Amino acid sequence: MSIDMSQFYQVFFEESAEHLASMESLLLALDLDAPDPDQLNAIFRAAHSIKGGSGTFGFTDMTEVTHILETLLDGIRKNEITITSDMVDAFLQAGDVLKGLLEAHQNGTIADPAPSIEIRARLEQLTEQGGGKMEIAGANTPGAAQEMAEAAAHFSPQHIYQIKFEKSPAIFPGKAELDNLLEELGDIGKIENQEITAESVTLSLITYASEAELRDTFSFFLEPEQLTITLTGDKATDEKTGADDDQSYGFFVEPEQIKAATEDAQGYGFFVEPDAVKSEVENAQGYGFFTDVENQPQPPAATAAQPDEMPHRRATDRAPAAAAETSIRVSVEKVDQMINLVGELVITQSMLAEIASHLDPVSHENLINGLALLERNTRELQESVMSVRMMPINFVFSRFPRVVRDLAGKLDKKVQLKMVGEGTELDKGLIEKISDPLTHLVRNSLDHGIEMPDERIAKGKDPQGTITLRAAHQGGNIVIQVMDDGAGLNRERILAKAREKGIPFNDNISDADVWLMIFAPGFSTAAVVTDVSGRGVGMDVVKKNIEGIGGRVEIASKAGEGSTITIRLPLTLAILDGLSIAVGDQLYIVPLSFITESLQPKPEDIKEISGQGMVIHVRGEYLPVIALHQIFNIAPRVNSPAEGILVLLEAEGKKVALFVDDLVSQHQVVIKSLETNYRKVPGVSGATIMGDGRVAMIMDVGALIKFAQQ
Amino acid sequence: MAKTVLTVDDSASIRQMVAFTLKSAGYTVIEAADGQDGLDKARANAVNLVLTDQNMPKMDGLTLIKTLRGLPQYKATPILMLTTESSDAMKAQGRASGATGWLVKPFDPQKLLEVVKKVIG
Repeated sequence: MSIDMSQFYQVFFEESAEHLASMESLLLALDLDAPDPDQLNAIFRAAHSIKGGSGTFGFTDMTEVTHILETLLDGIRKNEITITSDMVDAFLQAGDVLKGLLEAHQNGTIADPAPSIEIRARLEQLTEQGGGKMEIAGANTPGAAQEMAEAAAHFSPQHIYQIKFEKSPAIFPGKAELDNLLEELGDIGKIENQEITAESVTLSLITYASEAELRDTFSFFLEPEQLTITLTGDKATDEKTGADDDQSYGFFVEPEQIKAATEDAQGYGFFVEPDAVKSEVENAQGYGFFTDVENQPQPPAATAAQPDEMPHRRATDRAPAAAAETSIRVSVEKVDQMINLVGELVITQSMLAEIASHLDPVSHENLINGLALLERNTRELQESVMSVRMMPINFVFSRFPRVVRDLAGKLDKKVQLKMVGEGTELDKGLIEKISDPLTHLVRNSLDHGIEMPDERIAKGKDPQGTITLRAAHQGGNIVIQVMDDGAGLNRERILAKAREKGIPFNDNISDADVWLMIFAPGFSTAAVVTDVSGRGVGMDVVKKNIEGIGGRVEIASKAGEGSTITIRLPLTLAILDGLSIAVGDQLYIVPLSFITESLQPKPEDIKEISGQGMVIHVRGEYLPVIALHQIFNIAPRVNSPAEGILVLLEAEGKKVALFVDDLVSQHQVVIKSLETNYRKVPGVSGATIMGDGRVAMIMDVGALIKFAQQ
Repeated sequence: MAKTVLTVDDSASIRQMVAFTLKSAGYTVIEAADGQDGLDKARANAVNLVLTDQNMPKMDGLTLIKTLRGLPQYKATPILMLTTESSDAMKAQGRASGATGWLVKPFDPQKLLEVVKKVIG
């Protein structure tokens, strides 16, 4: 039998990535002065598992690295070697190397061997320094792994089959057909002792293939009854019989004795005696599926054999034995398809609700009750399907201990990282997209926020700074905060920089507005441009990325006490809270997160500026008015803002007033991509289907504000 | 009637490989993700052979074997330990715990099948 090992690769990749991640976080959490034996064991186990898997699946480069790693870790957990911070650094580096190798295997590429060689040398050196009395030896290790792989390769037993099949002209009209078949067999294995007569062909085939696979090959040419295949032996095992030096497995008792022992057990009647097993299993099945345990007559044999064991066994057997896994891995695609379909279902449901709302509730009571039930079930289904995509934010947070440790080391700062609310769940899509901006913010806080230890002492602070990452659910949003107890933002410096950059501002500009300036493109107040931050890929990108996923950023800062950057994100990317607005006969959706207020303006508050359009005066501020009907070129029902409604929008620190005919209502809408179904339309970020079946465009508020500026 | 093998390993990929190999050969396979899980499943099912990894969270392989041997229905059931080392110390520990034999990791499906066949046919 040959088994395609590649089918297990994906699971191996995923589990190894998990092991690497947990190894890293365990290493970072390790107290070097008093290492927790459980943690050491867990680290060892992670390396050990990767070694086992990579060896089994033939990724020898990973086996080589993990082997040395494991040996060193084993020495540490057995208290033969004392762990040092150098070792932790090397282990972290080894983790990185393994990650690289893993990615290379995953992508089917060949990894650069240099880092592996380097880390192996480093680990070997550490092992020697650690005074390890272990027989490790780096030099042997690659060889050892190779040997193992070779030994494994040796072991594939080739089967020897005796094959005989009919050869009538009806089956093989010409020589070519027979040659084809023989050629195919030649591809599968080695043909020996071939005899071709007028009626039949006899041959021996030495192959890894199973009988079923062979029959498959023949099925194209022959009916099953025209063919006999007999397994006459295994080549590799035949050869192996003489070789008793195989150390890769062994028994403490002879296999015959095991058999005998099992046979004894059979006699004893536990679970192997054929009759007992049969009746017992039938019995168990009967209990499990059809009748009550108490009412089932018990077969006397089974009862007599194990009076004590039976009740216990029965009770547990009722649970399906195969329900082994408590979690399964499913591809994201499948989940997305499910979410999509549920989205469609939500639309269909609201369509039905819309239709039913026109029906007479008395004569259609049953239908309406049914639809109410459908609505509830749909909503619950949608929530639970959405929850499948939810992942704890720890998937992002978990990288920060390492980021902070490395960066603090580089900058000679002392920083402690605190994480709060790691279990907060958010959409997988958001997790992926929040990771980079968050990293940037953390690096920024560490680089610009936290002061050098002596500076902190001079200020009377703890020389060790603290960065806190906090995540929480707050009113339908996810709030993520990056807090530091550093120097805080410097108002004067930011304003000086703004002047230099030619960014206009009011003299009595509020602190909050000053802080927001650091998100302006090309804005960096770093006195020294380090290789950590201040490289031009600035905070503007962070803000853009966060807004790109429907989020908002806020900054609070106090000189000398630190800064807090708050990110608010929607719970999911698939559903949006929106306000539907009407212009002419069209319906549009404005994402609720951008709306600050809606108002009916007084005619005297609206001013016309020649060549620049209209502005509206709201509490001392003049905001540009954008008429939606002009942008989309539709005939409005009202022409003057004073007769319609102004929706005040805020994005990217700018405010505009959107002039629409009417506000309709607030909905949760399922976002459909316009690009996939049509093409990108400026000013529109997507579309949705309303309850009555109409399509409504979802406004791209950022783009609208840009329109206003032009 | 198909014989039942309980495979205990915290590595999902290895467990799946073992399960797939044995299922392809006609065995019934029950999977468990650690020693404790293995013990629970061994108690709940009639098992003809136990294959267990050594290094696992919650309960390691040796403890599992010792515990199983303490159960009347597992006094004589063959138990093989899958291990990455084949040192004498390991063998002594394995023998003391009551294991029937050992199989060194990494192993390939053919080897696994060969060993399993030797034990339970």
